[in-house]
Amino acid sequence: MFSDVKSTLRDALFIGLLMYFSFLMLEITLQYIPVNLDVAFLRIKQDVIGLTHYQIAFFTHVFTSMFALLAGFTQFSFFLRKKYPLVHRGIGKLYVIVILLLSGPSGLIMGYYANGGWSSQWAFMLLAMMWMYTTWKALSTARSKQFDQHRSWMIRSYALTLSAITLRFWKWLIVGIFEPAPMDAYRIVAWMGWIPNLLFAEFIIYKNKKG
Amino acid sequence: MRMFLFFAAVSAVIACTNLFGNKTQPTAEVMIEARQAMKLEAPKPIAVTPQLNITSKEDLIGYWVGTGLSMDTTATSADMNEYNYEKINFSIDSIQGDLVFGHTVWLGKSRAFKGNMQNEGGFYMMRVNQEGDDKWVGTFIANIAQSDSVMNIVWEPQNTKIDQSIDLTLTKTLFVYSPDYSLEDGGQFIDYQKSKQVTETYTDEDGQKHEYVDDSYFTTTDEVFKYNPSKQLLTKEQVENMTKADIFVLRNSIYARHGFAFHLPALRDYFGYMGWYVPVRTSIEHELSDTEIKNIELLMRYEEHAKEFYDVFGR
Repeated sequence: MFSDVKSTLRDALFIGLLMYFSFLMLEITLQYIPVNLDVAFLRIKQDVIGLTHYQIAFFTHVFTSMFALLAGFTQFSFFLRKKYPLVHRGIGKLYVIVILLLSGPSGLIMGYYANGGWSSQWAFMLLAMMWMYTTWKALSTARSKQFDQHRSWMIRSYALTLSAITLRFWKWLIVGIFEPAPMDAYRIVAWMGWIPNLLFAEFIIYKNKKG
Repeated sequence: MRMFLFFAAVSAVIACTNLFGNKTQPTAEVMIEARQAMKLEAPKPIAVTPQLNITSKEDLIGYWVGTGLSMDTTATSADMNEYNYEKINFSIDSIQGDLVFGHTVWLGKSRAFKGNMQNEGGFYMMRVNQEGDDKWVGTFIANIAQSDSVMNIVWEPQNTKIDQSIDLTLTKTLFVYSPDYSLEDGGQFIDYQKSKQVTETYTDEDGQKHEYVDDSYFTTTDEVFKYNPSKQLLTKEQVENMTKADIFVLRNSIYARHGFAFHLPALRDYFGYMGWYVPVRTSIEHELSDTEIKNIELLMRYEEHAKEFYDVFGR
Protein backbone atom coordinates (compact mmCIF):
# COMPACT_ATOMS: atom_id res chain seq x y z
CA MET A 1 0.00 0.00 0.00
CA PHE A 2 2.70 2.43 1.04
CA SER A 3 4.83 1.68 -1.99
CA ASP A 4 1.76 2.34 -4.15
CA VAL A 5 1.40 5.81 -2.74
CA LYS A 6 5.10 6.37 -3.22
CA SER A 7 5.07 5.32 -6.84
CA THR A 8 1.95 7.35 -7.56
CA LEU A 9 3.61 10.41 -6.09
CA ARG A 10 6.74 9.69 -8.09
CA ASP A 11 4.74 9.37 -11.32
CA ALA A 12 2.86 12.57 -10.57
CA LEU A 13 6.12 14.38 -9.97
CA PHE A 14 7.55 13.04 -13.23
CA ILE A 15 4.47 14.07 -15.21
CA GLY A 16 4.46 17.50 -13.54
CA LEU A 17 8.09 18.17 -14.34
CA LEU A 18 7.63 16.85 -17.85
CA MET A 19 4.69 19.18 -18.39
CA TYR A 20 6.61 22.14 -17.12
CA PHE A 21 9.69 21.48 -19.24
CA SER A 22 7.63 20.52 -22.29
CA PHE A 23 6.00 23.90 -22.02
CA LEU A 24 9.43 25.56 -21.97
CA MET A 25 10.41 23.52 -25.01
CA LEU A 26 7.25 24.63 -26.78
CA GLU A 27 8.22 28.24 -26.12
CA ILE A 28 11.65 27.57 -27.61
CA THR A 29 10.01 26.04 -30.67
CA LEU A 30 7.66 28.98 -31.10
CA GLN A 31 10.60 31.39 -31.39
CA TYR A 32 11.04 30.10 -34.92
CA ILE A 33 7.47 30.83 -36.02
CA PRO A 34 7.19 32.64 -38.36
CA VAL A 35 10.28 31.14 -39.92
CA ASN A 36 13.14 33.57 -39.54
CA LEU A 37 16.79 32.95 -40.26
CA ASP A 38 18.10 35.55 -37.87
CA VAL A 39 16.71 34.69 -34.46
CA ALA A 40 17.83 32.81 -31.38
CA PHE A 41 20.13 29.88 -32.14
CA LEU A 42 20.28 30.69 -35.85
CA ARG A 43 21.84 34.06 -35.09
CA ILE A 44 25.07 32.26 -34.27
CA LYS A 45 24.79 29.75 -37.12
CA GLN A 46 25.22 32.30 -39.91
CA ASP A 47 28.16 30.43 -41.42
CA VAL A 48 26.02 27.37 -42.25
CA ILE A 49 22.52 28.82 -42.43
CA GLY A 50 23.02 29.45 -46.15
CA LEU A 51 23.15 25.68 -46.75
CA THR A 52 19.77 24.42 -47.92
CA HIS A 53 20.19 21.02 -46.31
CA TYR A 54 21.04 22.66 -43.00
CA GLN A 55 17.91 24.79 -43.16
CA ILE A 56 15.75 21.76 -43.91
CA ALA A 57 17.42 19.76 -41.12
CA PHE A 58 17.11 22.60 -38.64
CA PHE A 59 13.45 23.34 -39.16
CA THR A 60 12.54 19.66 -39.37
CA HIS A 61 14.26 19.17 -36.04
CA VAL A 62 12.70 22.20 -34.41
CA PHE A 63 9.15 21.54 -35.53
CA THR A 64 8.98 17.77 -35.07
CA SER A 65 11.03 17.07 -31.92
CA MET A 66 8.26 18.32 -29.65
CA PHE A 67 6.14 15.32 -30.64
CA ALA A 68 8.72 12.86 -29.34
CA LEU A 69 8.38 14.35 -25.87
CA LEU A 70 4.65 13.56 -25.89
CA ALA A 71 5.38 9.86 -25.53
CA GLY A 72 6.45 10.39 -21.93
CA PHE A 73 2.93 11.36 -20.90
CA THR A 74 1.29 8.17 -22.08
CA GLN A 75 3.64 5.37 -23.02
CA PHE A 76 4.88 4.35 -19.59
CA SER A 77 1.36 4.11 -18.18
CA PHE A 78 0.38 0.55 -17.30
CA PHE A 79 -3.27 1.54 -17.24
CA LEU A 80 -3.26 2.96 -20.74
CA ARG A 81 -1.35 0.02 -22.15
CA LYS A 82 -3.88 -2.45 -20.80
CA LYS A 83 -7.05 -0.48 -21.27
CA TYR A 84 -6.36 1.34 -24.51
CA PRO A 85 -3.62 -0.57 -26.35
CA LEU A 86 -4.50 1.26 -29.57
CA VAL A 87 -3.62 4.60 -28.02
CA HIS A 88 -0.32 3.15 -26.88
CA ARG A 89 0.39 1.87 -30.36
CA GLY A 90 -0.70 5.05 -32.11
CA ILE A 91 1.45 7.34 -30.05
CA GLY A 92 4.25 4.79 -30.25
CA LYS A 93 4.14 4.92 -34.04
CA LEU A 94 4.19 8.69 -33.98
CA TYR A 95 7.22 8.56 -31.67
CA VAL A 96 9.10 6.12 -33.90
CA ILE A 97 8.33 8.00 -37.11
CA VAL A 98 9.40 11.31 -35.60
CA ILE A 99 12.71 9.94 -34.39
CA LEU A 100 13.67 7.58 -37.19
CA LEU A 101 12.53 9.66 -40.13
CA LEU A 102 12.50 13.29 -39.01
CA SER A 103 14.06 14.45 -35.78
CA GLY A 104 16.84 11.85 -35.59
CA PRO A 105 18.35 12.22 -39.06
CA SER A 106 18.00 16.02 -38.91
CA GLY A 107 19.71 15.98 -35.51
CA LEU A 108 22.57 14.02 -37.04
CA ILE A 109 23.00 16.61 -39.79
CA MET A 110 22.88 19.46 -37.27
CA GLY A 111 25.37 17.62 -35.07
CA TYR A 112 27.81 17.54 -37.96
CA TYR A 113 27.67 21.35 -38.08
CA ALA A 114 27.56 21.83 -34.28
CA ASN A 115 29.21 24.85 -32.68
CA GLY A 116 32.21 24.25 -30.47
CA GLY A 117 34.45 22.05 -32.66
CA TRP A 118 35.02 18.32 -32.91
CA SER A 119 34.13 17.51 -29.30
CA SER A 120 30.59 18.83 -29.44
CA GLN A 121 30.18 17.67 -33.03
CA TRP A 122 30.93 14.12 -31.92
CA ALA A 123 28.72 14.43 -28.88
CA PHE A 124 25.68 15.50 -30.90
CA MET A 125 26.27 13.05 -33.75
CA LEU A 126 26.69 10.16 -31.32
CA LEU A 127 23.55 11.26 -29.49
CA ALA A 128 21.55 11.30 -32.73
CA MET A 129 22.82 7.86 -33.73
CA MET A 130 22.17 6.33 -30.31
CA TRP A 131 18.73 7.92 -30.29
CA MET A 132 17.81 6.32 -33.61
CA TYR A 133 19.43 3.01 -32.69
CA THR A 134 17.64 2.63 -29.33
CA THR A 135 14.35 3.65 -30.93
CA TRP A 136 14.85 1.18 -33.75
CA LYS A 137 15.62 -1.61 -31.27
CA ALA A 138 12.52 -0.69 -29.26
CA LEU A 139 10.40 -0.91 -32.40
CA SER A 140 11.79 -4.22 -33.60
CA THR A 141 11.50 -5.86 -30.16
CA ALA A 142 7.89 -4.75 -29.95
CA ARG A 143 7.15 -6.20 -33.36
CA SER A 144 8.65 -9.53 -32.37
CA LYS A 145 6.66 -9.36 -29.12
CA GLN A 146 9.70 -9.30 -26.84
CA PHE A 147 8.00 -6.82 -24.56
CA ASP A 148 10.54 -6.94 -21.71
CA GLN A 149 13.23 -5.96 -24.19
CA HIS A 150 10.92 -3.42 -25.78
CA ARG A 151 10.43 -1.79 -22.42
CA SER A 152 14.17 -1.56 -21.75
CA TRP A 153 14.94 -0.09 -25.17
CA MET A 154 12.15 2.44 -24.88
CA ILE A 155 13.48 3.56 -21.50
CA ARG A 156 16.86 4.12 -23.14
CA SER A 157 15.33 5.85 -26.12
CA TYR A 158 13.18 8.16 -24.04
CA ALA A 159 16.11 8.94 -21.74
CA LEU A 160 17.87 10.25 -24.84
CA THR A 161 14.74 12.12 -25.91
CA LEU A 162 14.85 13.89 -22.56
CA SER A 163 18.37 15.12 -23.33
CA ALA A 164 16.61 18.07 -25.01
CA ILE A 165 15.57 19.10 -21.52
CA THR A 166 18.54 17.91 -19.46
CA LEU A 167 21.06 19.57 -21.78
CA ARG A 168 19.38 22.93 -21.34
CA PHE A 169 18.94 22.36 -17.64
CA TRP A 170 22.64 21.58 -17.13
CA LYS A 171 23.57 24.62 -19.14
CA TRP A 172 21.37 26.82 -16.97
CA LEU A 173 22.81 25.28 -13.80
CA ILE A 174 26.47 25.37 -14.85
CA VAL A 175 26.23 28.96 -16.07
CA GLY A 176 24.43 29.95 -12.90
CA ILE A 177 27.12 28.51 -10.67
CA PHE A 178 30.42 28.73 -12.55
CA GLU A 179 29.80 31.36 -15.26
CA PRO A 180 32.10 29.66 -17.76
CA ALA A 181 32.88 31.11 -21.18
CA PRO A 182 29.82 30.40 -23.34
CA MET A 183 31.38 27.90 -25.71
CA ASP A 184 33.08 26.00 -22.87
CA ALA A 185 29.67 25.57 -21.29
CA TYR A 186 28.32 24.33 -24.60
CA ARG A 187 31.11 21.75 -25.02
CA ILE A 188 30.44 20.44 -21.52
CA VAL A 189 26.67 20.11 -21.86
CA ALA A 190 26.99 18.53 -25.31
CA TRP A 191 28.15 15.43 -23.38
CA MET A 192 26.52 16.03 -20.05
CA GLY A 193 23.13 16.44 -21.68
CA TRP A 194 22.78 12.74 -22.45
CA ILE A 195 25.44 10.47 -20.89
CA PRO A 196 23.99 10.70 -17.35
CA ASN A 197 20.55 10.12 -18.87
CA LEU A 198 21.72 6.84 -20.37
CA LEU A 199 23.30 5.78 -17.08
CA PHE A 200 20.09 6.62 -15.28
CA ALA A 201 18.13 4.60 -17.84
CA GLU A 202 20.36 1.57 -17.15
CA PHE A 203 19.71 2.06 -13.45
CA ILE A 204 15.95 2.01 -13.98
CA ILE A 205 16.17 -1.04 -16.22
CA TYR A 206 18.29 -2.80 -13.58
CA LYS A 207 15.80 -1.93 -10.85
CA ASN A 208 12.87 -3.07 -12.96
CA LYS A 209 14.52 -6.41 -13.55
CA LYS A 210 15.23 -6.84 -9.87
CA GLY A 211 11.76 -5.76 -8.78
CA MET B 1 -1.57 10.10 -37.04
CA ARG B 2 -2.87 11.64 -40.24
CA MET B 3 -3.20 14.94 -38.49
CA PHE B 4 0.41 14.77 -37.54
CA LEU B 5 1.67 13.88 -41.00
CA PHE B 6 -0.42 16.70 -42.37
CA PHE B 7 1.08 19.12 -39.86
CA ALA B 8 4.60 17.92 -40.59
CA ALA B 9 4.05 18.34 -44.33
CA VAL B 10 2.52 21.79 -43.93
CA SER B 11 5.29 23.03 -41.66
CA ALA B 12 7.91 21.63 -44.01
CA VAL B 13 6.31 23.44 -46.94
CA ILE B 14 6.02 26.70 -44.99
CA ALA B 15 9.61 26.33 -43.91
CA CYS B 16 10.93 25.76 -47.38
CA THR B 17 8.95 28.49 -49.11
CA ASN B 18 9.81 31.21 -46.64
CA LEU B 19 13.37 30.23 -46.14
CA PHE B 20 15.00 30.92 -49.37
CA GLY B 21 14.01 34.52 -49.60
CA ASN B 22 16.66 36.65 -47.92
CA LYS B 23 14.92 38.12 -44.92
CA THR B 24 18.01 38.83 -42.88
CA GLN B 25 18.93 42.18 -41.37
CA PRO B 26 21.22 44.60 -43.22
CA THR B 27 24.55 42.88 -43.57
CA ALA B 28 28.01 44.34 -43.20
CA GLU B 29 28.24 44.54 -47.01
CA VAL B 30 25.13 46.68 -47.20
CA MET B 31 26.47 48.98 -44.50
CA ILE B 32 29.83 49.32 -46.23
CA GLU B 33 28.13 50.27 -49.49
CA ALA B 34 25.89 52.75 -47.76
CA ARG B 35 28.85 54.33 -46.04
CA GLN B 36 30.81 54.64 -49.26
CA ALA B 37 27.88 56.45 -50.79
CA MET B 38 27.86 58.90 -47.89
CA LYS B 39 31.58 59.41 -47.67
CA LEU B 40 31.38 62.82 -49.29
CA GLU B 41 29.39 64.12 -46.36
CA ALA B 42 31.90 63.14 -43.72
CA PRO B 43 32.62 66.07 -41.39
CA LYS B 44 35.74 68.02 -42.16
CA PRO B 45 38.39 68.15 -39.47
CA ILE B 46 38.85 71.48 -37.79
CA ALA B 47 41.90 73.42 -38.86
CA VAL B 48 44.38 73.42 -36.04
CA THR B 49 47.97 74.40 -35.76
CA PRO B 50 50.17 71.64 -34.44
CA GLN B 51 51.59 74.17 -32.01
CA LEU B 52 51.01 72.91 -28.46
CA ASN B 53 52.62 75.93 -26.81
CA ILE B 54 50.47 78.96 -27.37
CA THR B 55 52.33 81.62 -29.29
CA SER B 56 49.38 83.32 -30.93
CA LYS B 57 45.60 83.49 -30.68
CA GLU B 58 45.24 81.02 -33.57
CA ASP B 59 47.16 78.37 -31.65
CA LEU B 60 44.26 78.21 -29.21
CA ILE B 61 42.10 76.55 -31.85
CA GLY B 62 41.84 72.80 -31.30
CA TYR B 63 40.90 70.19 -28.73
CA TRP B 64 41.68 70.98 -25.11
CA VAL B 65 41.46 67.75 -23.18
CA GLY B 66 41.64 66.74 -19.56
CA THR B 67 40.00 64.51 -16.97
CA GLY B 68 37.80 65.35 -14.06
CA LEU B 69 35.47 63.62 -11.68
CA SER B 70 32.38 61.97 -13.01
CA MET B 71 29.50 64.41 -13.05
CA ASP B 72 26.98 62.20 -14.72
CA THR B 73 23.35 63.08 -14.39
CA THR B 74 22.49 59.52 -13.46
CA ALA B 75 25.43 59.02 -11.12
CA THR B 76 24.85 58.66 -7.42
CA SER B 77 27.40 59.97 -4.94
CA ALA B 78 28.86 56.47 -4.71
CA ASP B 79 29.54 56.38 -8.44
CA MET B 80 31.37 59.67 -8.30
CA ASN B 81 34.06 57.97 -6.29
CA GLU B 82 34.24 55.00 -8.63
CA TYR B 83 34.71 56.91 -11.86
CA ASN B 84 37.68 59.26 -11.89
CA TYR B 85 38.55 59.48 -15.55
CA GLU B 86 35.72 61.48 -17.00
CA LYS B 87 37.37 63.12 -20.00
CA ILE B 88 36.30 66.48 -21.28
CA ASN B 89 37.06 67.85 -24.71
CA PHE B 90 36.85 71.64 -24.71
CA SER B 91 37.10 72.34 -28.41
CA ILE B 92 37.81 75.87 -29.62
CA ASP B 93 36.61 75.86 -33.21
CA SER B 94 37.13 79.45 -34.35
CA ILE B 95 38.16 82.85 -33.08
CA GLN B 96 36.80 85.97 -34.76
CA GLY B 97 38.25 89.08 -33.21
CA ASP B 98 37.26 88.90 -29.56
CA LEU B 99 34.63 86.26 -30.15
CA VAL B 100 35.28 82.58 -29.42
CA PHE B 101 33.19 79.74 -30.87
CA GLY B 102 33.46 76.12 -29.98
CA HIS B 103 31.85 73.09 -28.42
CA THR B 104 32.39 70.71 -25.57
CA VAL B 105 32.21 66.93 -25.79
CA TRP B 106 31.55 65.94 -22.22
CA LEU B 107 29.40 63.43 -20.35
CA GLY B 108 28.44 61.79 -23.62
CA LYS B 109 27.07 64.98 -25.16
CA SER B 110 28.26 67.59 -27.61
CA ARG B 111 27.30 71.19 -26.75
CA ALA B 112 28.12 74.39 -28.58
CA PHE B 113 29.49 77.38 -26.71
CA LYS B 114 30.37 80.96 -27.51
CA GLY B 115 31.82 83.90 -25.64
CA ASN B 116 34.52 86.52 -25.45
CA MET B 117 38.25 86.51 -25.08
CA GLN B 118 40.89 89.04 -24.23
CA ASN B 119 44.64 89.14 -24.00
CA GLU B 120 45.80 90.84 -20.83
CA GLY B 121 49.15 90.86 -19.13
CA GLY B 122 50.46 87.90 -21.10
CA PHE B 123 47.32 85.86 -20.46
CA TYR B 124 44.58 84.77 -22.80
CA MET B 125 41.33 84.88 -20.88
CA MET B 126 38.02 83.49 -22.06
CA ARG B 127 34.54 83.46 -20.75
CA VAL B 128 32.13 81.26 -22.75
CA ASN B 129 28.58 80.04 -22.22
CA GLN B 130 27.31 76.64 -23.21
CA GLU B 131 24.10 76.59 -25.22
CA GLY B 132 21.05 74.70 -24.08
CA ASP B 133 18.98 74.74 -20.95
CA ASP B 134 19.41 71.45 -19.14
CA LYS B 135 20.98 70.90 -15.78
CA TRP B 136 24.54 70.45 -16.95
CA VAL B 137 24.85 73.65 -18.95
CA GLY B 138 27.19 76.25 -17.58
CA THR B 139 29.92 78.82 -18.07
CA PHE B 140 33.60 78.16 -18.61
CA ILE B 141 36.15 80.69 -17.43
CA ALA B 142 39.48 79.82 -18.96
CA ASN B 143 42.95 81.27 -18.89
CA ILE B 144 46.28 80.31 -20.33
CA ALA B 145 49.59 82.16 -20.24
CA GLN B 146 51.21 83.08 -23.51
CA SER B 147 53.79 80.43 -24.51
CA ASP B 148 52.31 78.02 -21.96
CA SER B 149 50.62 74.71 -22.91
CA VAL B 150 48.21 74.22 -20.01
CA MET B 151 44.80 75.84 -19.83
CA ASN B 152 43.11 76.29 -16.49
CA ILE B 153 39.34 76.32 -16.54
CA VAL B 154 36.63 76.74 -14.00
CA TRP B 155 33.20 75.48 -14.96
CA GLU B 156 30.27 77.06 -13.19
CA PRO B 157 26.80 75.62 -13.51
CA GLN B 158 23.93 77.84 -14.58
CA ASN B 159 21.64 75.70 -12.51
CA THR B 160 21.67 77.11 -9.01
CA LYS B 161 20.78 73.74 -7.51
CA ILE B 162 24.26 72.48 -8.28
CA ASP B 163 26.40 74.24 -5.72
CA GLN B 164 29.71 73.04 -7.05
CA SER B 165 32.01 74.40 -9.70
CA ILE B 166 34.60 72.20 -11.37
CA ASP B 167 38.29 73.00 -11.86
CA LEU B 168 39.82 71.54 -14.97
CA THR B 169 43.36 71.42 -16.27
CA LEU B 170 43.44 70.91 -20.01
CA THR B 171 46.16 70.42 -22.58
CA LYS B 172 45.90 70.83 -26.32
CA THR B 173 45.58 67.49 -28.01
CA LEU B 174 45.90 66.64 -31.69
CA PHE B 175 43.53 63.72 -31.98
CA VAL B 176 43.69 61.46 -35.00
CA TYR B 177 42.10 58.07 -35.40
CA SER B 178 44.47 55.14 -35.36
CA PRO B 179 43.61 51.43 -35.48
CA ASP B 180 46.72 50.80 -33.38
CA TYR B 181 45.36 52.28 -30.17
CA SER B 182 45.55 49.50 -27.62
CA LEU B 183 43.41 48.47 -24.67
CA GLU B 184 46.61 47.55 -22.86
CA ASP B 185 46.99 51.23 -22.05
CA GLY B 186 44.01 50.82 -19.77
CA GLY B 187 42.98 48.97 -16.70
CA GLN B 188 40.08 46.58 -16.28
CA PHE B 189 36.60 47.49 -17.39
CA ILE B 190 34.20 47.50 -14.44
CA ASP B 191 30.60 48.60 -14.58
CA TYR B 192 29.73 49.49 -11.00
CA GLN B 193 26.09 49.90 -11.89
CA LYS B 194 25.79 46.29 -13.04
CA SER B 195 26.38 43.95 -10.18
CA LYS B 196 24.99 40.95 -8.43
CA GLN B 197 25.59 39.44 -5.04
CA VAL B 198 27.84 36.43 -4.81
CA THR B 199 28.78 34.37 -1.81
CA GLU B 200 32.53 33.93 -1.37
CA THR B 201 34.20 31.60 1.10
CA TYR B 202 37.61 31.87 2.69
CA THR B 203 39.54 29.84 5.26
CA ASP B 204 41.10 31.69 8.17
CA GLU B 205 44.33 30.84 10.07
CA ASP B 206 42.51 28.38 12.30
CA GLY B 207 41.30 26.45 9.29
CA GLN B 208 37.75 27.67 9.79
CA LYS B 209 35.68 28.38 6.76
CA HIS B 210 33.81 31.65 6.52
CA GLU B 211 31.28 32.87 4.06
CA TYR B 212 30.65 36.44 3.08
CA VAL B 213 28.53 38.16 0.51
CA ASP B 214 30.24 40.39 -2.00
CA ASP B 215 29.29 42.32 -5.10
CA SER B 216 30.31 40.80 -8.39
CA TYR B 217 30.53 43.40 -11.16
CA PHE B 218 30.19 43.22 -14.92
CA THR B 219 33.86 43.12 -15.85
CA THR B 220 36.31 42.00 -18.53
CA THR B 221 38.94 39.26 -18.63
CA ASP B 222 42.45 39.37 -20.15
CA GLU B 223 40.94 37.94 -23.31
CA VAL B 224 40.28 41.50 -24.57
CA PHE B 225 44.01 42.13 -24.92
CA LYS B 226 44.39 39.34 -27.46
CA TYR B 227 42.39 40.98 -30.21
CA ASN B 228 42.17 44.32 -31.94
CA PRO B 229 38.92 44.49 -33.91
CA SER B 230 40.06 47.68 -35.66
CA LYS B 231 43.00 45.84 -37.24
CA GLN B 232 42.14 42.19 -37.70
CA LEU B 233 39.00 40.53 -38.96
CA LEU B 234 37.69 38.43 -36.08
CA THR B 235 36.48 34.89 -36.69
CA LYS B 236 33.43 33.14 -35.32
CA GLU B 237 35.72 30.77 -33.40
CA GLN B 238 37.42 33.68 -31.64
CA VAL B 239 34.22 35.40 -30.64
CA GLU B 240 31.97 32.48 -29.70
CA ASN B 241 33.80 31.67 -26.47
CA MET B 242 34.15 35.25 -25.22
CA THR B 243 32.23 36.51 -22.21
CA LYS B 244 29.52 39.12 -22.61
CA ALA B 245 31.69 41.84 -21.05
CA ASP B 246 34.67 41.04 -23.28
CA ILE B 247 32.55 41.20 -26.42
CA PHE B 248 30.98 44.42 -25.20
CA VAL B 249 34.31 46.12 -24.52
CA LEU B 250 35.93 44.92 -27.74
CA ARG B 251 33.03 46.30 -29.74
CA ASN B 252 33.17 49.62 -27.93
CA SER B 253 36.95 49.81 -28.35
CA ILE B 254 36.27 50.32 -32.06
CA TYR B 255 34.10 53.35 -31.29
CA ALA B 256 36.63 54.64 -28.76
CA ARG B 257 39.44 54.69 -31.32
CA HIS B 258 37.29 57.02 -33.40
CA GLY B 259 36.71 59.29 -30.42
CA PHE B 260 33.11 58.37 -29.71
CA ALA B 261 31.53 60.12 -26.73
CA PHE B 262 29.99 57.26 -24.76
CA HIS B 263 26.69 57.51 -22.94
CA LEU B 264 27.62 54.86 -20.39
CA PRO B 265 29.68 56.30 -17.50
CA ALA B 266 31.58 53.02 -17.07
CA LEU B 267 32.78 53.18 -20.69
CA ARG B 268 33.78 56.85 -20.43
CA ASP B 269 35.79 56.04 -17.34
CA TYR B 270 37.39 52.94 -18.85
CA PHE B 271 38.52 54.62 -22.06
CA GLY B 272 39.09 57.97 -20.35
CA TYR B 273 41.96 56.38 -18.47
CA MET B 274 43.71 55.59 -21.76
CA GLY B 275 45.99 58.33 -23.01
CA TRP B 276 44.93 58.04 -26.63
CA TYR B 277 41.21 58.38 -26.03
CA VAL B 278 39.58 61.73 -26.68
CA PRO B 279 35.82 62.20 -26.81
CA VAL B 280 35.42 63.87 -30.17
CA ARG B 281 32.09 62.99 -31.71
CA THR B 282 28.68 61.64 -30.83
CA SER B 283 28.23 59.78 -34.11
CA ILE B 284 30.86 57.63 -35.80
CA GLU B 285 29.00 55.45 -38.32
CA HIS B 286 30.62 57.18 -41.27
CA GLU B 287 34.12 56.86 -39.87
CA LEU B 288 34.30 53.08 -39.55
CA SER B 289 36.61 50.96 -41.70
CA ASP B 290 35.38 47.89 -43.56
CA THR B 291 37.10 45.60 -41.05
CA GLU B 292 35.46 47.44 -38.18
CA ILE B 293 31.98 47.26 -39.69
CA LYS B 294 32.31 43.52 -40.23
CA ASN B 295 33.64 42.98 -36.72
CA ILE B 296 30.89 45.08 -35.15
CA GLU B 297 28.30 42.96 -36.92
CA LEU B 298 29.91 39.73 -35.69
CA LEU B 299 30.45 40.97 -32.13
CA MET B 300 26.93 42.36 -31.93
CA ARG B 301 25.51 39.02 -33.03
CA TYR B 302 27.22 37.18 -30.18
CA GLU B 303 26.64 39.96 -27.69
CA GLU B 304 22.90 39.87 -28.27
CA HIS B 305 22.86 36.12 -28.27
CA ALA B 306 24.71 36.08 -24.95
CA LYS B 307 22.36 38.69 -23.51
CA GLU B 308 19.29 36.70 -24.47
CA PHE B 309 20.43 33.15 -23.94
CA TYR B 310 23.61 32.82 -21.88
CA ASP B 311 21.99 32.25 -18.48
CA VAL B 312 18.54 30.99 -19.38
CA PHE B 313 16.98 27.62 -20.12
CA GLY B 314 16.51 27.49 -23.83
CA ARG B 315 17.45 28.82 -27.23
